[in-house]
Amino acid sequence: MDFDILNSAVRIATPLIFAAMGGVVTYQAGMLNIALDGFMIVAAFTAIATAYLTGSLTIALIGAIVASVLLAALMAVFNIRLRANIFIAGTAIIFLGNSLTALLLKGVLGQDGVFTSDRIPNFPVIRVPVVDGIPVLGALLSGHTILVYVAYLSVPLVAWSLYRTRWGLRLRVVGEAPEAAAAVGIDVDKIKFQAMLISGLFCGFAGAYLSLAYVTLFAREMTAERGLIALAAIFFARGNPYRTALVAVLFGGATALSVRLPQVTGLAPQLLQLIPYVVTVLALVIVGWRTTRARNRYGAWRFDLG
Amino acid sequence: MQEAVLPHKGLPPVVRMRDIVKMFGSFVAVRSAAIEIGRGEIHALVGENGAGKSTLMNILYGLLERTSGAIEVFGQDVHFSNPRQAIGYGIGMVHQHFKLAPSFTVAENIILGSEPLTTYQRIDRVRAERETRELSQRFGLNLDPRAIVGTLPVGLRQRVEILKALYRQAEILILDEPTAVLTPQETRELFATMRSLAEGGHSIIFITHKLREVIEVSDRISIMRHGEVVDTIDNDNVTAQQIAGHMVGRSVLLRVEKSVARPTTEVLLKVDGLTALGDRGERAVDDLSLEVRAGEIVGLAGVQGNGQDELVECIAGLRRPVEGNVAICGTGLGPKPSDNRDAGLAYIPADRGGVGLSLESSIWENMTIGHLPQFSRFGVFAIGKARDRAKQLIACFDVRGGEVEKPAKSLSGGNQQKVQLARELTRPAARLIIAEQPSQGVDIGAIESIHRTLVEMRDAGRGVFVVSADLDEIMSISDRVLVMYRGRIVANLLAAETDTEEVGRYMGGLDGEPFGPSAGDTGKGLADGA
Repeated sequence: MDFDILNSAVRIATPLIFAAMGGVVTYQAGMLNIALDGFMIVAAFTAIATAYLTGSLTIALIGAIVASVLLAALMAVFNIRLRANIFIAGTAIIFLGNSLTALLLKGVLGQDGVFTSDRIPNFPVIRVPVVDGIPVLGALLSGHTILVYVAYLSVPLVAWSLYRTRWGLRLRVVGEAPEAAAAVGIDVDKIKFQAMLISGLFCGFAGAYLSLAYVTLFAREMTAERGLIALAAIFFARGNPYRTALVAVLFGGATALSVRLPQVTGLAPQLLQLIPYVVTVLALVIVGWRTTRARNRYGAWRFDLG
Repeated sequence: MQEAVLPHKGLPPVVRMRDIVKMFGSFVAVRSAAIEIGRGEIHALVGENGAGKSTLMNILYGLLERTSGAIEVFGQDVHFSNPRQAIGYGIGMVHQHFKLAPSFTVAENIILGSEPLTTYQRIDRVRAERETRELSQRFGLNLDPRAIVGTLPVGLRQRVEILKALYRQAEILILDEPTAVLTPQETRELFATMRSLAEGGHSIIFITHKLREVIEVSDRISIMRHGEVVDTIDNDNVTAQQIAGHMVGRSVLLRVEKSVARPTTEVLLKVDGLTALGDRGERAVDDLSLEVRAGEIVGLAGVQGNGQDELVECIAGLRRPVEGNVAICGTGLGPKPSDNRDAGLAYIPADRGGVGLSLESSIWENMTIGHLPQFSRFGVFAIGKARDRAKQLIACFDVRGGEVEKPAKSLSGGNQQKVQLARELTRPAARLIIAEQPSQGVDIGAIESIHRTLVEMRDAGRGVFVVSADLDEIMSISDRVLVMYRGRIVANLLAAETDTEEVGRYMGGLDGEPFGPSAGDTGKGLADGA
């Protein structure tokens, strides 16, 4: 019972890891993809609506991924084909995702803020034999839904794709020096397009997890800026998938703590729920401090002439 | 040497471009250009900036598509719409600005786009490194396949680019301004490489505007002017003046005509024990001292990246030194860049678009900024007066195509440079002129007038400090030449008593230990000041 907090940390980190892996791929391809939340909310809604209407978790998961990838394709068309600024395109996608799901929530499911139903099946919890009985490890590794395992296994898969395969090399070069890639005949836009679609794929998993596994309900704007928190983790880890995942897990731990502490200490839960966000801000402060210190240590600085 | 001069004779050309036209909107960049490249020849393509050299070669390499005309490569009609197709026909291009990924290894950069694979689309690193090593040994271009490209000196990065093309079995190599960033010694090594490649049957197209090098290395020379190839000549008893004449269509002075400098004892710029750090924290300027006096032009030579940028930024007040002093006309550095300007600094930065001008703003606005108090009436800006003055300056500095209301970006590089000069040199307080890469991206006609202006400034008793990566420019305009190497001044020479060869040796750091200013006895200013 005492190790419940570990179990919830693992679960809380799961959507962050999905979103962060999606963000790592676009980050490495040289795109600051702020639209992760937009992809996720659409996926979360599609997942719960499909599950409610079909009763099938598999179809719901596929539906979530298809919806998220389609939105990512729209984002890619805006940003890559039509050369729209990625910030503006990303903001538009987030607004679109949040508003469209709120509209459909009312229109299709007839609810205003929150939707849930007994007809929605649950993802079965997997008890890993042997490990389940071991105190700490059991809480960490056993008793999760299939999506949790997929999330954690996706981290080495992303790392392998980025650092071992031809596609990964090309993607990273596109991110660092697009003109170098173009000069040897690599289709820069195609690779960026692919990266954005993969970002959508991961956000599809993240969204489905949020509405069908983490909880079984859909609420407006239920992603709660997880996409931005994932981006913070990516920046903190400079795009390395393993370190990004680690930061996501630490964040999950902080959140789990913020849920548990009020019960233990009796402090105001509203205050303690700030913990994860404080952790995010601190992480970003460290990133900023790290980069300015690299300059200031040597006393070299420049006026901002821009 | 005689039989090596025209090895292509009797063989069909490997490239034949005819009636090539390239339009950008209504602007004709290339009009009816024709060129033939023989097998195993080094073919120089010369012309002023904007003559269409790079455009023509970008068409051959598939980076640009021609508007009309015909191209044959190895006897086949081709129409490339991307470099990949050109690479497939054995064409390789080394761009002026290297197209490399700095945080990746040499091997990764070389195989990029044609990666050797093992199972599951994985990159075969072992094979990539082995092939890189073999290739570099075969062509005598030694490189460590595992070295990170960003840590290599420029000369080696260029080798990576050349090997990249050779790895793709290029038989026709286009080198776009390959010597712009090299020391004379690195240039010589490059020329040796070019010759051995040509002897091995590769054809090399060498785009440049450095005429001395054209004569030194090429077999044939094609000269472009206003988008046309006006002549192709064998490199046989040709002089640089003849080629230059073809390039601009009139004979030009390559050396600046100027009288002997008469520097006074007044020190306008005194840099004393200056140490400054670069953006990555390295000691870019290392305990450096120098002086510029009224009435002299001091040229700072050096391969780019030896601390020149940081030095100039310190003087301009754009970078804070960690140690040492800078005095402009006897006044120390102030906390704001404008303090240095008030003390007498006129600054012509190399980065015209970023530091020197606001390209989106109009010409009159660019000419007025920094002169605002003069146009202030009871705190209200007298726009009409500022415009009138800009009109006068446009005429006075011969800014071609200059209309006061047009944005600065509508001007050519040379004319943008003139706008900068007009603004900076007309400031009454300006006595020390720092001109950074004054002729970069400027056509020959404008270079002449810019140099003449700088000499006039000198003769009017101002001090001129020219920083340039172009050794020819340094040698032709300076009265005294300083050479910067790894953050220090390693030579202080009178221009009349030295030559490019000697300066080049110092630029490459070959003469070992840097010496302090007191050792530079040939310099009038430095020795006394130390």
